[in-house]
Amino acid sequence: MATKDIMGIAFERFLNVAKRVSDDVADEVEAVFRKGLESPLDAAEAIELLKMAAEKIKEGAKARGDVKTAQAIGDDVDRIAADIIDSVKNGSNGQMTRDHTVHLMDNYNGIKPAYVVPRPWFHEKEIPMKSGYVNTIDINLWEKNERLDIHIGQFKEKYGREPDPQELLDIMSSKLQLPGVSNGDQFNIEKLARSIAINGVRKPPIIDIDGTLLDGNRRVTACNYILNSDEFTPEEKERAKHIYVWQLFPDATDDDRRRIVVSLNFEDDLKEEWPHYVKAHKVYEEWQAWLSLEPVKPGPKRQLEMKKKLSSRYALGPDTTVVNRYLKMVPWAMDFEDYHKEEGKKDKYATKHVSSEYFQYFDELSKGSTPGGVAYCLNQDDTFKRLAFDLLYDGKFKNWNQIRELKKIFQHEDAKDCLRKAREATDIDHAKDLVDDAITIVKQKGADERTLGANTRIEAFVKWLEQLPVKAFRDDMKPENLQRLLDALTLVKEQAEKVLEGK
Amino acid sequence: MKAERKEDKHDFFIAAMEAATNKDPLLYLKGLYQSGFLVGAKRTLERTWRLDPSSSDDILTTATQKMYEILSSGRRILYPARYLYKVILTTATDHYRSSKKDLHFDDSIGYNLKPPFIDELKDEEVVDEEALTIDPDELKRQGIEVARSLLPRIGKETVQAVMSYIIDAIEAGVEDIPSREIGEALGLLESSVRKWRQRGFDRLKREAIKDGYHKKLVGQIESDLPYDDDENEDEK
Repeated sequence: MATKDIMGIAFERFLNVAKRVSDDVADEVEAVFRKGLESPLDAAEAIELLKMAAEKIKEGAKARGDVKTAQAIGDDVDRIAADIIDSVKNGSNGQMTRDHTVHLMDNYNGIKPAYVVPRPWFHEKEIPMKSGYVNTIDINLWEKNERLDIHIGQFKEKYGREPDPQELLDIMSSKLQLPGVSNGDQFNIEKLARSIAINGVRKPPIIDIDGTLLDGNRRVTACNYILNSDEFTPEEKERAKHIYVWQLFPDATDDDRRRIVVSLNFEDDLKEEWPHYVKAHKVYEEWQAWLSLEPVKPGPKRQLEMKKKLSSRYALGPDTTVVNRYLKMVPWAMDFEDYHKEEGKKDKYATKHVSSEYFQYFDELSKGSTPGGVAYCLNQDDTFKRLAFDLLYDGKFKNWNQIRELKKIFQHEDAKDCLRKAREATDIDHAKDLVDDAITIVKQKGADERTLGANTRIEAFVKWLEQLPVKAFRDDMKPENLQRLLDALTLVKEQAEKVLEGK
Repeated sequence: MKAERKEDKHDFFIAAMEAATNKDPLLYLKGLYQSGFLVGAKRTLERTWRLDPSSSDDILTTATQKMYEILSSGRRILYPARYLYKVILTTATDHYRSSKKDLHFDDSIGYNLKPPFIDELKDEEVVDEEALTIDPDELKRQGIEVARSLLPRIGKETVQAVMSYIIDAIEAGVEDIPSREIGEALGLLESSVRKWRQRGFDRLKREAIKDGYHKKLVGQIESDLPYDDDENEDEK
């Protein structure tokens, strides 16, 4: 190639470079900033990019002898990238700040941290996570776990502070007795521990970057139980020292955490669910919050729309049946608790435990708000309502079916009297028998009323029949009715003769 | 803290630049990330320039490293955001030039949805293979030599001064030469610099064609008249 041709090529290249270098790009640069803020990367992508950049800066620094830069980056670019993301996240959008203090183990039995693929879905959203092993003792039970709501409240009232991690563990293990909590392993930890000792933890708990558990309080408690109990072998204890978990990325939002909790505790997964009491309260509180935000009291159509949204938010199905039930039950539960706390002078949290235990009864109590229904009767007479609440608190109803009979008991003084005696009875079995008696009375009176009605009816009918002209049988009665009358009288004749012969 | 206001994002970016000057790579990367520039650049490369993700990441992180190196050497950059953008652009151009990757961009989609360097590289496709074996630095040196040789023929002193400034900057390896910088150096208005710059490029090309350097446009010179520049055109 001729020299001039090459110089021509060189000159063309120079022109291109010169234009590029001297072009004004203010608009393009602003667009870059804007894009960056409008379309953020997810945590995984951001971490990978930052890692790559850190690596290159370190390589460049080493090549030119920049010791300070190389040392600043060090060897763990993974951690640097994660820390950058984490530190940027602090305080954004008013969300809870968390320190990335619990890291997955670099290598445990050949298992290294890895991205969970495919990305798991929680309540309609894909939430990226990493999987790996952590030390069991580094995991913190989640004190905001709604399952422990009542227990934490009791603890705070008794001790004037939040329980520490060990105390949370003791509560979950039922080692820390609180008023109103039935004796025994309330959370079935021992049974779970025995299963884990043999089979390991099958489903990975989910933890936050600071080791807080979002799902798996029972599993982790069970592992701790294994570690601290004499029942298990050294091998079983060794296995329980580390747990395979899924961990959120540093830029996970509070909404991500909420979705995980809803998905794993409201949606049916055949695990030991939160008590309905807890779920219902969550739904009720959110409903109240939404109502308060409405500019005017919402009409039926708007309420239906809100309830459907609420139902979807808590994975309660496409219709509003469960939401409606919860919204009726919770006020009754609150009424029950208030009564026992204020008038009965009972412990607030003990009452909550009872309320939680018998929560389904409030479904029956809340039904029938029109005349003749249970709710209507109870609301008509405070004394009667208190009577029902006292019996419920003491566990003197055999089952929730008996609640339905209250509407009939309300009408009969002698049945009510039985209930009053049941309330005073110290022996639970005897009290339950008295409640049975009350129900029997109202059922029996119903039968009696049908019997008394028969005499009256027969008297009236006989009088009418005697006064009926004979020609009416020929001219006014339909043949089929006449036959029916003959059949009925034949039956009556047989029965009447037997009874009368006996007398 | 997420940069929500315009002022915030620039503050983070400036903090990043200062961190690099102080040889603090962690704060540098953090500031770049917080300002949105790093993320925005990735989005630009992938979505606007439509580069494949692995090339985008490679280009972006290389440019980030180059910028860090420049700043940590003590060099002062007047407009660092523009400069970094240009470094990304240069890195991308070099990346695709050296990798000889096929760049298939559908022109019907629109000019804005392809890399800015696409035309430059497409122009370079039509070259003799011998030229491709020449050392790039040597090519650069020869290109600058040709440009300097043509300078005296492109018109009045002002346009020569502007183009001379640009040539010098390219020779020094500067990636971004803002019009404002040239104006301040030469005592000219920014708008004048832009005007003379454009004229300077046009005239350099024209002179190169006359001398047989610019292969593509041989025979397309429209006029051979001298450049009629108004001596009083510039005001400061």
